[in-house]
Amino acid sequence: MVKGRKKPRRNDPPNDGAARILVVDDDMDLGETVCEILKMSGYRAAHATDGLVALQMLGEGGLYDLILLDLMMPRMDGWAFRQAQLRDEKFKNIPVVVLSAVGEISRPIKADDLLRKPVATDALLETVRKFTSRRSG
Amino acid sequence: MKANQKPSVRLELDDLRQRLQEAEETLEAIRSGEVDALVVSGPAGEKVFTLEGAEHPYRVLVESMNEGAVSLSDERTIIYCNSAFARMVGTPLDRIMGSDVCEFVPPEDREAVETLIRQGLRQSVRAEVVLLPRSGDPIPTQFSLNPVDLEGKPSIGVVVTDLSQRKRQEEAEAAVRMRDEFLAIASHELRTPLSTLVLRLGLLERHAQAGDLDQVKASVNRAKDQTERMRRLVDRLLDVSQLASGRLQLELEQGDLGEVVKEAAGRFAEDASNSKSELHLTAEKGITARVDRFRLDEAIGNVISNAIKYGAGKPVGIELKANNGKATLVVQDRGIGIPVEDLSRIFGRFERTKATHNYGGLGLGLYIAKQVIEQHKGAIRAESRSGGGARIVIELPLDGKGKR
Repeated sequence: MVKGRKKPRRNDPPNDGAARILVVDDDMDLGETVCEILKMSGYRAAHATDGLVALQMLGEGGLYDLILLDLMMPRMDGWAFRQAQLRDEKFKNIPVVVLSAVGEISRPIKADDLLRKPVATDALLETVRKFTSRRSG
Repeated sequence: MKANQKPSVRLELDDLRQRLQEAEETLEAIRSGEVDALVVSGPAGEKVFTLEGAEHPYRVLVESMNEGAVSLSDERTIIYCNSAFARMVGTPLDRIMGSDVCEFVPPEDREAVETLIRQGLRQSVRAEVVLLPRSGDPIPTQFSLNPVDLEGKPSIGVVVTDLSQRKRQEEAEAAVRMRDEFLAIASHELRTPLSTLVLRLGLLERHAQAGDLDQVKASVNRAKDQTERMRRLVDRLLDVSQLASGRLQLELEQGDLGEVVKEAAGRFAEDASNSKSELHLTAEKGITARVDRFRLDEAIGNVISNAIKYGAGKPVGIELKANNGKATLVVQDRGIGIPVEDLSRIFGRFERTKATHNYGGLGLGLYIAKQVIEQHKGAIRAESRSGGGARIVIELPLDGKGKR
């Protein structure tokens, strides 16, 4: 038992160099929960509900260090988003980790890593750390 | 003269005697069954005439076939058929001979079969035809028609193959595919809230380690939301399984429909504001009926949930009225709409429109809603809105007696 209450961790990272992560998933609850975990671990995180919104957010000048990408989304799915991302000079180099359920990957997709849903918190954070270790977070 | 005739007469006599002997031998051979075919030379050349003997190989073959065999005149009269065909149509041979073959075909198909037979007089053709036996269920068959010349008259030879077995197999295979698809969709749908739950519990752990009680409480609530979501999904799956085996039992009690609609809408208030499809509810008061509140709430909820999901962020209207012993509930949206060809299909199990691909969900909401509404002796239909969007209309009888 820990005696005395520790101060809750701040949601905002202490320094400006924290990595920024874009979470693309049509499930509101999942997107929010992932963002919360990332923020609690010192990252900055934003949630896009499908590929179109994600492209919009990238286009608005968002500088992201990593994209966590769901595949099955309405309006613009993970595959279509990836294609669009790779065609754009400005964001084609942002690494992408696909977050998907087994059996959903009906077509191949070019990605830097793959996390299978349901993903354990530790595995998620470990993978994120791998791709953002250049930045502190 | 006499001397000249004598040799020629003798030759003729010998010739006649020989021909008579051949004829006697032939008749004897035919009588004793040694002969089964005759080759006759006529003005049109040689022709083979086969004889009908009980042991004749062709006859035995045709009679022992599992397939039906029928000879039709050019006026669709059955000149001949084998016992397999007689069995298929459940009619004794003597009743079949001389009948129009279309007597064994459902009335609504007769015109098409008449056209088929006309084609069969000119060329080989194959088509599926439903046969109607005298008693019993219709049999799906394949008719394979070939033009034949029977004793100088244009006729048709038909081989009739019973497709029931094949159809049953196709149905079984389709059912297995559907079940596999269902399992794939269901496990995917369950995996998403499960993923959130796993992460949420991870967060909970971290908050607990940090000693942050408020965050722990908040996380517990969020975790409960996910388990609730999974429970509803599992309930939906169980409903479908019960519906499939006819075990769905309604628990009826007097209820105010306005309240049921309000409660169902209330469950989606948060979803609605999240996707900006505000719910606008108008419900007349005092509309009571005998209903299964729980099931009806679920059915109406499914319809509302769809309206929000496919509502493209535009407001959703819910209106309840009563008229002439009937309550009418209309849920309308201005979203992606329903193509006209899908308006009745979407109430089928796992049915979705093409546009809803990737929206998630089992494609069961409307199916369950329809079953529940119809069990209440009501009706449900979908309409396309001019200007975009869809309208779902639910009607329920108020006096307990169905309009069906």
